[in-house]
Amino acid sequence: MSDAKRRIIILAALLVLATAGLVTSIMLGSVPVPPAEIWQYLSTNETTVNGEIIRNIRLPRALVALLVGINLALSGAILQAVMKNPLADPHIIGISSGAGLTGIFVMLLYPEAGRLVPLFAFVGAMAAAILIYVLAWKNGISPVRIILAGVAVSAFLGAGISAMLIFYSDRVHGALMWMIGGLSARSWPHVNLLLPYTVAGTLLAFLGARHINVLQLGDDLAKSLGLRVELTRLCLTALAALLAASAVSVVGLLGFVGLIVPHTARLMLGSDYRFLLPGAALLGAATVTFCDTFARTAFSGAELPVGIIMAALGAPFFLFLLRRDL
Amino acid sequence: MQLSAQNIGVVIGDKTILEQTTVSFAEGKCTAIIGRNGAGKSTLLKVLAHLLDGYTGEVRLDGQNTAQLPRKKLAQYIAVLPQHTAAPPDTTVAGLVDFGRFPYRSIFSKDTPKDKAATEAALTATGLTNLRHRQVGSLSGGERQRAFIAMALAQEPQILLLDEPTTYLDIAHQLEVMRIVRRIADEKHITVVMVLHDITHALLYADEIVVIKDGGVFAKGDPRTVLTPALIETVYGVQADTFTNAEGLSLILPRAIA
Repeated sequence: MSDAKRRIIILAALLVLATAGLVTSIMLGSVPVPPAEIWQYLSTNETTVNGEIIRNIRLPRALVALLVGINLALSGAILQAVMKNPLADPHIIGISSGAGLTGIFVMLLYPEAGRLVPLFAFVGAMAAAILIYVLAWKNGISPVRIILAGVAVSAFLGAGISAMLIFYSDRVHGALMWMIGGLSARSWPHVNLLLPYTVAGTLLAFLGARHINVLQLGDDLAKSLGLRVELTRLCLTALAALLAASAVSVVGLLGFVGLIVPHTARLMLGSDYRFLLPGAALLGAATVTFCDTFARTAFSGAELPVGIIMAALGAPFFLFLLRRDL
Repeated sequence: MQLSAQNIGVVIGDKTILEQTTVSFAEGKCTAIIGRNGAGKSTLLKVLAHLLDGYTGEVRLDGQNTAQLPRKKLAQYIAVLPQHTAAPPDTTVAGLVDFGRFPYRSIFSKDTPKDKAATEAALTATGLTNLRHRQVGSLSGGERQRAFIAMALAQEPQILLLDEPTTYLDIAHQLEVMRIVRRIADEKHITVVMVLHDITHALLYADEIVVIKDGGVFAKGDPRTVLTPALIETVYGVQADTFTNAEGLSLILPRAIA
Protein backbone atom coordinates (compact mmCIF):
# COMPACT_ATOMS: atom_id res chain seq x y z
CA MET A 1 0.00 0.00 0.00
CA SER A 2 1.42 3.36 -0.94
CA ASP A 3 2.23 5.89 1.70
CA ALA A 4 -0.30 8.45 0.49
CA LYS A 5 -3.03 5.82 0.41
CA ARG A 6 -2.24 4.69 3.94
CA ARG A 7 -2.42 8.24 5.22
CA ILE A 8 -5.72 8.91 3.49
CA ILE A 9 -7.19 5.79 5.10
CA ILE A 10 -5.97 7.01 8.52
CA LEU A 11 -7.53 10.42 7.87
CA ALA A 12 -10.82 8.77 6.90
CA ALA A 13 -10.71 6.73 10.12
CA LEU A 14 -10.10 9.90 12.13
CA LEU A 15 -13.05 11.57 10.40
CA VAL A 16 -15.25 8.66 11.43
CA LEU A 17 -13.89 8.90 14.96
CA ALA A 18 -14.58 12.64 15.20
CA THR A 19 -18.12 12.15 13.88
CA ALA A 20 -18.66 9.34 16.35
CA GLY A 21 -17.44 11.65 19.12
CA LEU A 22 -19.97 14.28 18.13
CA VAL A 23 -22.87 11.80 17.89
CA THR A 24 -21.98 10.07 21.16
CA SER A 25 -21.80 13.40 22.89
CA ILE A 26 -25.33 14.24 21.72
CA MET A 27 -26.70 10.77 22.57
CA LEU A 28 -25.40 10.26 26.06
CA GLY A 29 -26.37 12.01 29.24
CA SER A 30 -28.82 11.74 32.09
CA VAL A 31 -31.50 11.19 29.42
CA PRO A 32 -30.05 8.89 26.72
CA VAL A 33 -31.34 9.60 23.23
CA PRO A 34 -30.93 6.90 20.52
CA PRO A 35 -29.21 8.08 17.34
CA ALA A 36 -32.35 7.58 15.26
CA GLU A 37 -34.24 10.11 17.34
CA ILE A 38 -31.49 12.75 17.29
CA TRP A 39 -32.22 13.74 13.74
CA GLN A 40 -35.92 13.92 14.47
CA TYR A 41 -35.32 16.36 17.33
CA LEU A 42 -32.90 18.41 15.26
CA SER A 43 -35.06 18.67 12.17
CA THR A 44 -38.29 19.65 13.91
CA ASN A 45 -38.90 22.43 16.35
CA GLU A 46 -41.27 20.58 18.67
CA THR A 47 -40.85 21.76 22.23
CA THR A 48 -40.52 18.45 23.98
CA VAL A 49 -38.12 18.14 26.90
CA ASN A 50 -35.84 15.86 24.92
CA GLY A 51 -35.95 18.22 21.96
CA GLU A 52 -34.89 21.11 24.16
CA ILE A 53 -32.09 19.11 25.76
CA ILE A 54 -30.73 18.07 22.38
CA ARG A 55 -31.05 21.41 20.65
CA ASN A 56 -30.04 23.79 23.40
CA ILE A 57 -27.79 21.81 25.71
CA ARG A 58 -26.12 18.80 24.15
CA LEU A 59 -25.69 19.88 20.54
CA PRO A 60 -24.09 23.26 21.30
CA ARG A 61 -21.89 21.74 23.99
CA ALA A 62 -20.77 18.99 21.62
CA LEU A 63 -20.03 21.59 18.98
CA VAL A 64 -17.99 23.68 21.44
CA ALA A 65 -15.99 20.55 22.29
CA LEU A 66 -15.45 19.87 18.60
CA LEU A 67 -14.35 23.41 17.77
CA VAL A 68 -12.09 23.72 20.82
CA GLY A 69 -10.46 20.40 19.95
CA ILE A 70 -9.78 21.54 16.40
CA ASN A 71 -8.42 24.94 17.42
CA LEU A 72 -6.07 23.73 20.14
CA ALA A 73 -4.73 20.82 18.11
CA LEU A 74 -4.07 22.98 15.04
CA SER A 75 -2.47 25.66 17.18
CA GLY A 76 -0.10 23.16 18.78
CA ALA A 77 0.74 21.48 15.48
CA ILE A 78 1.60 24.82 13.89
CA LEU A 79 3.70 25.97 16.84
CA GLN A 80 5.75 22.78 16.95
CA ALA A 81 6.93 23.47 13.41
CA VAL A 82 7.29 27.23 13.76
CA MET A 83 9.31 26.98 16.99
CA LYS A 84 11.26 23.92 15.78
CA ASN A 85 10.53 22.45 19.17
CA PRO A 86 8.57 19.31 19.94
CA LEU A 87 7.61 20.74 23.34
CA ALA A 88 6.02 23.85 21.86
CA ASP A 89 2.33 24.20 22.59
CA PRO A 90 -0.09 27.13 22.91
CA HIS A 91 1.18 27.80 26.45
CA ILE A 92 4.63 28.88 25.35
CA ILE A 93 3.36 31.86 23.40
CA GLY A 94 1.73 33.14 26.57
CA ILE A 95 -1.83 32.16 25.71
CA SER A 96 -2.57 30.53 29.03
CA SER A 97 -0.81 33.01 31.28
CA GLY A 98 -2.33 36.00 29.47
CA ALA A 99 -5.82 34.54 29.32
CA GLY A 100 -5.43 33.25 32.88
CA LEU A 101 -4.52 36.61 34.32
CA THR A 102 -7.29 38.66 32.70
CA GLY A 103 -9.90 35.89 32.91
CA ILE A 104 -9.28 35.23 36.58
CA PHE A 105 -9.06 38.96 37.28
CA VAL A 106 -12.62 39.40 36.01
CA MET A 107 -13.87 36.25 37.73
CA LEU A 108 -12.49 37.18 41.14
CA LEU A 109 -12.85 40.94 41.23
CA TYR A 110 -15.97 41.44 39.13
CA PRO A 111 -17.89 38.18 39.46
CA GLU A 112 -21.06 39.93 38.29
CA ALA A 113 -19.41 40.47 34.87
CA GLY A 114 -18.91 36.73 34.36
CA ARG A 115 -20.27 36.89 30.84
CA LEU A 116 -17.30 38.99 29.82
CA VAL A 117 -14.72 36.41 30.89
CA PRO A 118 -14.23 35.00 27.37
CA LEU A 119 -13.71 38.47 25.94
CA PHE A 120 -11.19 39.48 28.58
CA ALA A 121 -9.43 36.14 28.38
CA PHE A 122 -9.09 36.56 24.65
CA VAL A 123 -7.67 40.05 24.98
CA GLY A 124 -5.26 38.87 27.68
CA ALA A 125 -4.11 35.93 25.57
CA MET A 126 -3.43 38.05 22.53
CA ALA A 127 -1.72 40.76 24.55
CA ALA A 128 0.62 38.22 26.15
CA ALA A 129 1.37 36.67 22.77
CA ILE A 130 2.23 40.06 21.27
CA LEU A 131 4.31 41.02 24.31
CA ILE A 132 6.35 37.83 24.02
CA TYR A 133 6.86 38.39 20.33
CA VAL A 134 8.03 41.95 20.86
CA LEU A 135 10.38 40.92 23.66
CA ALA A 136 11.83 38.14 21.52
CA TRP A 137 12.42 40.44 18.56
CA LYS A 138 16.03 41.32 17.91
CA ASN A 139 16.92 41.69 14.24
CA GLY A 140 14.30 39.11 13.50
CA ILE A 141 12.84 36.32 15.48
CA SER A 142 14.43 33.10 16.66
CA PRO A 143 12.46 30.19 18.08
CA VAL A 144 14.78 29.90 21.09
CA ARG A 145 14.23 33.53 22.04
CA ILE A 146 10.45 33.15 21.70
CA ILE A 147 10.47 30.12 23.97
CA LEU A 148 12.66 31.83 26.57
CA ALA A 149 10.64 35.05 26.43
CA GLY A 150 7.49 32.92 26.72
CA VAL A 151 8.78 31.16 29.81
CA ALA A 152 9.78 34.46 31.44
CA VAL A 153 6.52 36.28 30.66
CA SER A 154 4.47 33.27 31.76
CA ALA A 155 6.34 33.13 35.06
CA PHE A 156 5.76 36.85 35.60
CA LEU A 157 2.04 36.70 34.80
CA GLY A 158 1.76 33.45 36.76
CA ALA A 159 2.88 35.36 39.83
CA GLY A 160 -0.06 37.72 39.29
CA ILE A 161 -2.46 34.79 38.96
CA SER A 162 -1.16 33.17 42.15
CA ALA A 163 -1.36 36.45 44.06
CA MET A 164 -5.00 36.93 43.05
CA LEU A 165 -5.87 33.38 44.01
CA ILE A 166 -4.35 33.95 47.45
CA PHE A 167 -5.98 37.34 48.07
CA TYR A 168 -9.42 36.14 47.01
CA SER A 169 -9.18 32.58 48.22
CA ASP A 170 -12.90 32.61 49.20
CA ARG A 171 -13.93 32.99 45.56
CA VAL A 172 -11.42 30.62 44.05
CA HIS A 173 -13.74 27.74 43.13
CA GLY A 174 -15.01 29.09 39.80
CA ALA A 175 -11.57 30.27 38.84
CA LEU A 176 -10.13 26.86 39.64
CA MET A 177 -12.61 25.11 37.35
CA TRP A 178 -11.71 27.54 34.62
CA MET A 179 -7.99 26.98 35.09
CA ILE A 180 -8.41 23.25 34.66
CA GLY A 181 -10.62 23.76 31.65
CA GLY A 182 -14.17 22.55 31.34
CA LEU A 183 -17.21 22.65 29.11
CA SER A 184 -20.09 22.74 31.55
CA ALA A 185 -22.86 25.20 30.63
CA ARG A 186 -21.26 26.04 27.30
CA SER A 187 -23.93 26.79 24.71
CA TRP A 188 -24.80 28.54 21.45
CA PRO A 189 -23.18 31.92 22.19
CA HIS A 190 -19.90 30.09 22.71
CA VAL A 191 -20.35 28.19 19.46
CA ASN A 192 -20.89 31.49 17.67
CA LEU A 193 -17.81 32.95 19.30
CA LEU A 194 -15.59 30.03 18.28
CA LEU A 195 -16.89 29.22 14.82
CA PRO A 196 -15.37 32.12 12.82
CA TYR A 197 -11.93 31.44 14.30
CA THR A 198 -12.16 27.74 13.60
CA VAL A 199 -13.33 28.18 10.02
CA ALA A 200 -10.87 30.92 9.11
CA GLY A 201 -8.02 29.37 11.12
CA THR A 202 -8.46 25.93 9.61
CA LEU A 203 -8.58 27.33 6.12
CA LEU A 204 -5.46 29.45 6.60
CA ALA A 205 -3.58 26.61 8.29
CA PHE A 206 -4.32 24.21 5.44
CA LEU A 207 -3.26 26.82 2.89
CA GLY A 208 -0.01 27.26 4.78
CA ALA A 209 0.77 23.53 5.01
CA ARG A 210 3.37 23.64 2.24
CA HIS A 211 5.08 26.63 3.83
CA ILE A 212 5.19 24.85 7.17
CA ASN A 213 6.77 21.84 5.46
CA VAL A 214 9.50 24.02 3.99
CA LEU A 215 10.03 25.71 7.35
CA GLN A 216 10.87 22.28 8.80
CA LEU A 217 13.99 22.17 6.61
CA GLY A 218 15.65 24.84 8.73
CA ASP A 219 15.96 28.58 8.15
CA ASP A 220 18.83 28.56 5.65
CA LEU A 221 17.30 25.98 3.34
CA ALA A 222 13.84 27.50 3.66
CA LYS A 223 15.23 30.91 2.69
CA SER A 224 17.19 29.51 -0.22
CA LEU A 225 13.99 27.87 -1.47
CA GLY A 226 12.39 31.29 -1.61
CA LEU A 227 10.42 31.26 1.65
CA ARG A 228 10.27 34.53 3.54
CA VAL A 229 11.08 32.87 6.82
CA GLU A 230 10.54 35.75 9.25
CA LEU A 231 7.23 36.76 7.72
CA THR A 232 6.00 33.18 7.56
CA ARG A 233 6.95 32.58 11.17
CA LEU A 234 5.20 35.78 12.27
CA CYS A 235 1.98 34.95 10.39
CA LEU A 236 1.89 31.37 11.60
CA THR A 237 2.53 32.37 15.22
CA ALA A 238 -0.30 34.90 14.99
CA LEU A 239 -2.57 32.25 13.50
CA ALA A 240 -1.71 29.79 16.28
CA ALA A 241 -2.30 32.50 18.87
CA LEU A 242 -5.75 33.34 17.49
CA LEU A 243 -6.78 29.69 17.34
CA ALA A 244 -5.64 28.95 20.88
CA ALA A 245 -6.85 32.22 22.38
CA SER A 246 -10.36 31.73 21.02
CA ALA A 247 -10.48 28.22 22.47
CA VAL A 248 -9.03 29.15 25.84
CA SER A 249 -11.34 32.14 26.18
CA VAL A 250 -14.33 29.81 25.97
CA VAL A 251 -13.28 26.71 27.92
CA GLY A 252 -10.46 27.93 30.13
CA LEU A 253 -6.91 26.69 30.31
CA LEU A 254 -7.38 23.32 28.74
CA GLY A 255 -3.87 21.94 28.49
CA PHE A 256 -2.83 18.73 26.87
CA VAL A 257 -4.76 18.88 23.57
CA GLY A 258 -2.36 21.38 22.06
CA LEU A 259 0.69 19.32 22.97
CA ILE A 260 -0.27 15.66 22.86
CA VAL A 261 -2.78 15.55 20.02
CA PRO A 262 -0.37 16.94 17.39
CA HIS A 263 2.27 14.46 18.50
CA THR A 264 -0.15 11.57 18.33
CA ALA A 265 -1.21 12.69 14.86
CA ARG A 266 2.46 12.90 13.88
CA LEU A 267 3.11 9.36 15.06
CA MET A 268 0.20 8.16 12.95
CA LEU A 269 0.62 10.32 9.84
CA GLY A 270 4.23 11.54 9.70
CA SER A 271 5.57 15.07 9.41
CA ASP A 272 3.99 16.17 6.14
CA TYR A 273 1.72 19.00 7.28
CA ARG A 274 -0.63 18.51 4.35
CA PHE A 275 -1.71 15.33 6.15
CA LEU A 276 -0.71 16.19 9.70
CA LEU A 277 -2.88 19.32 10.00
CA PRO A 278 -6.19 17.70 9.03
CA GLY A 279 -5.25 14.66 11.11
CA ALA A 280 -4.50 16.77 14.19
CA ALA A 281 -7.74 18.74 13.74
CA LEU A 282 -9.86 15.59 13.50
CA LEU A 283 -8.07 13.87 16.36
CA GLY A 284 -8.42 17.00 18.49
CA ALA A 285 -12.15 17.12 17.79
CA ALA A 286 -12.55 13.42 18.61
CA THR A 287 -10.46 13.69 21.78
CA VAL A 288 -12.34 16.59 23.31
CA THR A 289 -15.84 15.34 22.38
CA PHE A 290 -15.24 11.83 23.72
CA CYS A 291 -13.47 13.01 26.85
CA ASP A 292 -16.18 15.55 27.61
CA THR A 293 -18.90 12.93 27.18
CA PHE A 294 -16.99 10.68 29.52
CA ALA A 295 -16.46 13.49 32.02
CA ARG A 296 -20.20 14.25 31.99
CA THR A 297 -21.52 10.73 32.27
CA ALA A 298 -18.99 8.45 33.94
CA PHE A 299 -19.60 9.59 37.49
CA SER A 300 -23.34 9.78 38.07
CA GLY A 301 -24.31 12.99 39.78
CA ALA A 302 -20.91 14.66 39.57
CA GLU A 303 -19.40 16.19 36.48
CA LEU A 304 -15.64 16.39 36.20
CA PRO A 305 -13.87 19.09 34.19
CA VAL A 306 -12.84 17.59 30.87
CA GLY A 307 -9.25 18.71 31.45
CA ILE A 308 -8.80 16.14 34.20
CA ILE A 309 -10.20 13.28 32.12
CA MET A 310 -8.15 14.20 29.12
CA ALA A 311 -4.86 14.25 30.98
CA ALA A 312 -5.68 11.11 32.92
CA LEU A 313 -6.63 9.09 29.83
CA GLY A 314 -4.51 10.77 27.21
CA ALA A 315 -1.13 10.78 28.89
CA PRO A 316 -0.93 6.98 29.32
CA PHE A 317 -2.20 6.49 25.79
CA PHE A 318 0.42 8.84 24.45
CA LEU A 319 3.16 7.10 26.42
CA PHE A 320 1.97 3.78 24.98
CA LEU A 321 2.26 5.16 21.44
CA LEU A 322 5.66 6.61 22.16
CA ARG A 323 7.10 3.41 23.62
CA ARG A 324 5.75 1.33 20.78
CA ASP A 325 7.33 3.54 18.14
CA LEU A 326 10.74 4.03 19.72
CA MET B 1 24.43 33.80 -15.46
CA GLN B 2 27.29 35.85 -14.12
CA LEU B 3 27.51 35.93 -10.33
CA SER B 4 29.72 38.49 -8.66
CA ALA B 5 30.26 40.10 -5.29
CA GLN B 6 31.09 43.80 -5.19
CA ASN B 7 32.80 45.42 -2.20
CA ILE B 8 31.20 43.07 0.30
CA GLY B 9 31.66 44.02 3.93
CA VAL B 10 30.34 42.05 6.87
CA VAL B 11 30.72 43.05 10.50
CA ILE B 12 29.32 40.78 13.19
CA GLY B 13 29.40 42.30 16.65
CA ASP B 14 32.67 44.25 16.68
CA LYS B 15 34.45 41.77 14.44
CA THR B 16 35.06 42.48 10.78
CA ILE B 17 34.50 39.23 8.87
CA LEU B 18 34.71 40.48 5.30
CA GLU B 19 36.10 43.80 4.10
CA GLN B 20 35.78 45.26 0.60
CA THR B 21 35.64 41.81 -0.95
CA THR B 22 35.13 41.82 -4.69
CA VAL B 23 35.11 38.60 -6.66
CA SER B 24 33.33 37.26 -9.72
CA PHE B 25 32.70 33.66 -10.61
CA ALA B 26 33.24 32.11 -14.01
CA GLU B 27 30.00 31.13 -15.69
CA GLY B 28 29.39 27.39 -15.97
CA LYS B 29 32.59 26.60 -14.09
CA CYS B 30 33.28 25.04 -10.73
CA THR B 31 34.91 27.40 -8.25
CA ALA B 32 36.27 26.37 -4.85
CA ILE B 33 36.63 28.83 -1.98
CA ILE B 34 39.32 27.91 0.53
CA GLY B 35 40.87 29.55 3.57
CA ARG B 36 41.40 29.12 7.27
CA ASN B 37 38.59 28.60 9.75
CA GLY B 38 37.01 31.95 10.45
CA ALA B 39 38.54 33.60 7.39
CA GLY B 40 35.07 34.40 6.07
CA LYS B 41 34.54 31.66 3.46
CA SER B 42 31.15 30.55 4.70
CA THR B 43 30.14 34.15 5.34
CA LEU B 44 30.94 35.00 1.73
CA LEU B 45 28.88 32.05 0.55
CA LYS B 46 25.99 33.14 2.76
CA VAL B 47 26.16 36.64 1.35
CA LEU B 48 26.13 35.21 -2.18
CA ALA B 49 23.12 33.09 -1.24
CA HIS B 50 21.37 36.06 0.33
CA LEU B 51 21.08 34.18 3.62
CA LEU B 52 22.67 36.96 5.65
CA ASP B 53 21.18 40.35 6.36
CA GLY B 54 23.26 43.35 7.19
CA TYR B 55 26.14 43.29 4.74
CA THR B 56 27.43 46.22 2.74
CA GLY B 57 28.15 46.06 -0.97
CA GLU B 58 26.23 44.24 -3.64
CA VAL B 59 25.81 40.74 -4.95
CA ARG B 60 25.07 40.91 -8.65
CA LEU B 61 23.50 38.42 -10.95
CA ASP B 62 24.05 39.46 -14.56
CA GLY B 63 24.58 42.98 -13.27
CA GLN B 64 21.40 43.07 -11.17
CA ASN B 65 21.57 43.51 -7.40
CA THR B 66 20.14 40.29 -5.92
CA ALA B 67 18.83 42.13 -2.87
CA GLN B 68 16.23 43.67 -5.15
CA LEU B 69 14.97 40.34 -6.48
CA PRO B 70 11.98 38.71 -4.77
CA ARG B 71 13.12 35.66 -2.77
CA LYS B 72 11.21 33.20 -4.90
CA LYS B 73 12.65 34.62 -8.10
CA LEU B 74 16.13 34.41 -6.60
CA ALA B 75 15.48 30.80 -5.63
CA GLN B 76 14.82 30.02 -9.28
CA TYR B 77 18.35 31.20 -10.13
CA ILE B 78 20.42 30.27 -7.09
CA ALA B 79 20.23 26.99 -5.15
CA VAL B 80 22.09 26.47 -1.89
CA LEU B 81 23.27 23.49 0.08
CA PRO B 82 24.04 24.86 3.58
CA GLN B 83 26.54 23.16 5.84
CA HIS B 84 23.82 22.09 8.25
CA THR B 85 20.71 20.65 6.71
CA ALA B 86 17.63 19.36 8.45
CA ALA B 87 14.55 17.46 7.40
CA PRO B 88 11.96 15.46 9.34
CA PRO B 89 13.40 11.91 9.29
CA ASP B 90 10.23 10.45 7.79
CA THR B 91 10.46 12.64 4.67
CA THR B 92 10.96 10.46 1.60
CA VAL B 93 13.77 11.21 -0.83
CA ALA B 94 11.20 12.04 -3.51
CA GLY B 95 9.37 14.29 -1.06
CA LEU B 96 12.58 16.10 -0.17
CA VAL B 97 13.51 16.64 -3.81
CA ASP B 98 10.00 17.93 -4.45
CA PHE B 99 10.67 20.81 -2.03
CA GLY B 100 13.04 22.07 -4.74
CA ARG B 101 9.96 23.02 -6.75
CA PHE B 102 8.70 25.36 -4.02
CA PRO B 103 10.04 28.51 -5.76
CA TYR B 104 7.85 27.75 -8.77
CA ARG B 105 4.62 27.23 -6.87
CA SER B 106 2.04 29.59 -5.49
CA ILE B 107 -0.35 28.75 -2.65
CA PHE B 108 -3.03 27.39 -4.94
CA SER B 109 -1.01 25.90 -7.80
CA LYS B 110 -0.99 22.21 -8.59
CA ASP B 111 1.99 20.11 -9.66
CA THR B 112 2.80 20.57 -13.32
CA PRO B 113 4.50 18.12 -15.71
CA LYS B 114 7.48 20.48 -15.52
CA ASP B 115 7.73 19.90 -11.75
CA LYS B 116 7.70 16.17 -12.33
CA ALA B 117 10.33 16.36 -15.07
CA ALA B 118 12.61 18.53 -12.93
CA THR B 119 12.44 16.23 -9.90
CA GLU B 120 13.01 13.15 -12.08
CA ALA B 121 16.04 14.75 -13.71
CA ALA B 122 17.40 15.68 -10.30
CA LEU B 123 16.97 12.14 -8.97
CA THR B 124 18.69 10.73 -12.06
CA ALA B 125 21.60 13.17 -11.89
CA THR B 126 22.32 12.16 -8.29
CA GLY B 127 21.71 8.44 -8.83
CA LEU B 128 18.80 8.33 -6.41
CA THR B 129 16.01 6.97 -8.61
CA ASN B 130 16.06 3.64 -6.78
CA LEU B 131 16.02 5.29 -3.36
CA ARG B 132 13.10 7.62 -4.02
CA HIS B 133 10.78 5.95 -1.54
CA ARG B 134 13.37 5.68 1.22
CA GLN B 135 13.02 7.91 4.26
CA VAL B 136 15.72 10.51 4.76
CA GLY B 137 16.32 9.24 8.29
CA SER B 138 17.37 5.82 6.95
CA LEU B 139 19.95 7.12 4.46
CA SER B 140 23.71 6.99 4.83
CA GLY B 141 25.58 10.29 5.08
CA GLY B 142 26.52 10.24 1.40
CA GLU B 143 23.03 9.33 0.20
CA ARG B 144 21.59 12.05 2.41
CA GLN B 145 23.94 14.66 0.96
CA ARG B 146 23.04 13.51 -2.55
CA ALA B 147 19.35 13.87 -1.72
CA PHE B 148 19.88 17.49 -0.65
CA ILE B 149 21.91 18.16 -3.82
CA ALA B 150 19.03 16.65 -5.80
CA MET B 151 16.65 19.05 -4.05
CA ALA B 152 18.87 21.95 -5.09
CA LEU B 153 18.95 20.65 -8.69
CA ALA B 154 15.15 20.42 -8.75
CA GLN B 155 15.19 24.19 -8.37
CA GLU B 156 16.68 24.20 -11.89
CA PRO B 157 19.16 26.85 -10.81
CA GLN B 158 21.77 28.63 -12.88
CA ILE B 159 24.03 28.74 -9.86
CA LEU B 160 24.66 26.17 -7.14
CA LEU B 161 26.32 27.19 -3.87
CA LEU B 162 27.67 24.46 -1.59
CA ASP B 163 29.02 25.00 1.92
CA GLU B 164 31.53 22.25 2.73
CA PRO B 165 29.53 19.53 0.99
CA THR B 166 31.89 16.71 2.02
CA THR B 167 32.21 17.41 5.73
CA TYR B 168 31.29 14.39 7.88
CA LEU B 169 31.52 12.00 4.91
CA ASP B 170 33.95 9.09 4.52
CA ILE B 171 36.37 9.19 1.58
CA ALA B 172 34.15 7.06 -0.67
CA HIS B 173 31.15 9.31 -0.12
CA GLN B 174 33.35 12.39 -0.48
CA LEU B 175 34.48 11.17 -3.88
CA GLU B 176 30.92 10.38 -4.90
CA VAL B 177 29.67 13.85 -3.95
CA MET B 178 32.59 15.65 -5.62
CA ARG B 179 32.04 13.69 -8.84
CA ILE B 180 28.35 14.57 -8.89
CA VAL B 181 29.21 18.22 -8.35
CA ARG B 182 31.76 18.05 -11.18
CA ARG B 183 29.16 16.50 -13.50
CA ILE B 184 26.64 19.20 -12.60
CA ALA B 185 29.06 21.85 -13.85
CA ASP B 186 30.15 19.84 -16.92
CA GLU B 187 26.81 18.53 -18.15
CA LYS B 188 24.24 21.01 -16.89
CA HIS B 189 26.54 24.04 -17.23
CA ILE B 190 25.50 25.23 -13.80
CA THR B 191 27.93 27.64 -12.14
CA VAL B 192 29.12 25.88 -8.99
CA VAL B 193 30.66 27.75 -6.07
CA MET B 194 31.71 25.62 -3.11
CA VAL B 195 33.48 26.19 0.16
CA LEU B 196 36.00 23.37 0.64
CA HIS B 197 38.33 22.36 3.44
CA ASP B 198 40.21 19.77 1.48
CA ILE B 199 42.89 21.35 -0.72
CA THR B 200 43.21 18.12 -2.68
CA HIS B 201 39.53 18.26 -3.62
CA ALA B 202 40.00 21.84 -4.76
CA LEU B 203 42.95 20.77 -6.90
CA LEU B 204 41.18 17.78 -8.39
CA TYR B 205 37.68 19.10 -8.99
CA ALA B 206 37.69 22.89 -9.25
CA ASP B 207 38.28 24.93 -12.40
CA GLU B 208 39.04 27.97 -10.33
CA ILE B 209 40.03 28.62 -6.78
CA VAL B 210 39.43 31.65 -4.58
CA VAL B 211 41.66 31.90 -1.51
CA ILE B 212 40.22 33.99 1.33
CA LYS B 213 42.52 35.51 3.91
CA ASP B 214 41.91 38.25 6.50
CA GLY B 215 38.44 39.08 5.20
CA GLY B 216 39.42 39.50 1.57
CA VAL B 217 40.45 37.65 -1.59
CA PHE B 218 44.12 36.68 -1.26
CA ALA B 219 44.49 34.81 -4.55
CA LYS B 220 42.33 33.62 -7.41
CA GLY B 221 42.92 31.49 -10.47
CA ASP B 222 43.63 27.98 -11.74
CA PRO B 223 44.14 25.81 -8.64
CA ARG B 224 47.17 24.11 -10.23
CA THR B 225 49.06 27.35 -10.45
CA VAL B 226 47.61 29.13 -7.41
CA LEU B 227 48.06 26.33 -4.89
CA THR B 228 51.75 26.23 -4.03
CA PRO B 229 53.57 25.31 -0.82
CA ALA B 230 54.42 29.01 -0.45
CA LEU B 231 50.73 30.00 -0.57
CA ILE B 232 49.78 27.25 1.87
CA GLU B 233 52.40 28.52 4.29
CA THR B 234 51.18 32.13 4.01
CA VAL B 235 47.50 31.30 4.27
CA TYR B 236 47.42 28.41 6.72
CA GLY B 237 50.78 28.79 8.43
CA VAL B 238 51.62 25.25 7.47
CA GLN B 239 54.71 23.91 5.71
CA ALA B 240 53.81 21.55 2.91
CA ASP B 241 55.48 19.25 0.39
CA THR B 242 54.36 18.55 -3.14
CA PHE B 243 53.97 15.12 -4.62
CA THR B 244 53.16 14.05 -8.13
CA ASN B 245 50.35 11.50 -8.41
CA ALA B 246 50.01 8.70 -10.97
CA GLU B 247 48.26 11.03 -13.40
CA GLY B 248 51.11 13.52 -13.22
CA LEU B 249 49.19 16.00 -11.12
CA SER B 250 51.09 17.89 -8.44
CA LEU B 251 49.43 17.48 -5.03
CA ILE B 252 50.14 19.16 -1.73
CA LEU B 253 50.63 17.44 1.59
CA PRO B 254 50.96 19.39 4.85
CA ARG B 255 54.11 18.54 6.82
CA ALA B 256 54.44 20.82 9.84
CA ILE B 257 53.12 23.97 11.47
CA ALA B 258 55.30 26.82 10.28
